[in-house]
Amino acid sequence: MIARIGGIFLRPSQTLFSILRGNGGTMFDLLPWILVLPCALSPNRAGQALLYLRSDVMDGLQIYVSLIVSKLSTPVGAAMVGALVLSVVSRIKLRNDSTSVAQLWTFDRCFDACMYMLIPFFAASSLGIILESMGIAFKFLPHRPIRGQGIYLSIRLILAFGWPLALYMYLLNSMWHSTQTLEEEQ
Amino acid sequence: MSAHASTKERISGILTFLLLAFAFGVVSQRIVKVGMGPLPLGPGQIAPQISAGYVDGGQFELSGYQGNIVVLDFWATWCPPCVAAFPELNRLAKKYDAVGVRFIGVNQEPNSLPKVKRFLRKRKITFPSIIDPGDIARTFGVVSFPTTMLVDHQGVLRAVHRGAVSSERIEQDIKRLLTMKDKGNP
Repeated sequence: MIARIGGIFLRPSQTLFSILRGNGGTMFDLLPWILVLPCALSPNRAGQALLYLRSDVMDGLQIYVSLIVSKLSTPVGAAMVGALVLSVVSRIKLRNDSTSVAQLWTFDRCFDACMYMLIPFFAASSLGIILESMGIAFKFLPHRPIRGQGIYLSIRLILAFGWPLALYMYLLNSMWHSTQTLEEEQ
Repeated sequence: MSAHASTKERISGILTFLLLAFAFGVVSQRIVKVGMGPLPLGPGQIAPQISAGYVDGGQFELSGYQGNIVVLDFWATWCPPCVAAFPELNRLAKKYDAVGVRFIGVNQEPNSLPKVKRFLRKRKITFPSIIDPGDIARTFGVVSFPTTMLVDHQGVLRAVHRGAVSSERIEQDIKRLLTMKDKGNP
């Protein structure tokens, strides 16, 4: 798992195709980020969740879950939509290649791969938190809510989602030219 | 070569994990500070004696409302569910005013007094609001908005609703507290 997470930075295509082939790598590998990163992004809210957990477990859990949803619903939602598009497009494009559709481009494997693509986003958010705590407020990083206008917003979006988007486009392209790519990969 | 690449990937994966751990580490103190603070108030506890300025001038003292049932509505103009709840709260405030039920809005924008005034005037909110200087919500353990609290005629907190709550529910609580008041016991 550790190597796969590192692999997304060093050998992204091999790592993603390894996940698509079912050689390990699921969204559950990313649970530490899903459970911990929102707390690091919003320590006050996480503290409030802890406070309420002490008095009423359900209230505390509700705040904690709403914290996760508020911080991660956009990227995880995007991964879900991305996986859906990949699996649907593959069914249309590769309708004559039933093996590839059935084995590689199933929704669950596409979703696992798309979730792995978020690792650079998670890492950039973590880096932003660390830098800010050191007094270097690099506000282009995605640890702060992505808002703004024009070029500023574009830079922020690229820094937050540029890499995941590039990886996604790569996967989409690979699927579109499925035969050659799979032969190369295999 | 493969083993070498794998080692690199492992190192990269570990570094990614460490980023998350450091990010959490640097904010953990804040989480603990908030999370281990005084527990939020719940039903049955004596409402703290608070005082603050009314939006329209004058000084509010909760102790001055002894003998009345007080509905405290913690709100802000930037909170859509708070704004959505206003028409119904306004209706209830008018309906129960004659029987000694007092609605008090506790606004959370101490630096936006003119904006809050305009907002209340525009929406024709008839019950008074006070401006929380920053410690009232904390004293009551309010962390999400809207939060509605009902204090009985003896100054005891009897109901706490975190998040949006239906007007029927508030009315039910008011009726219950009025019955308690009429019977002369808690």
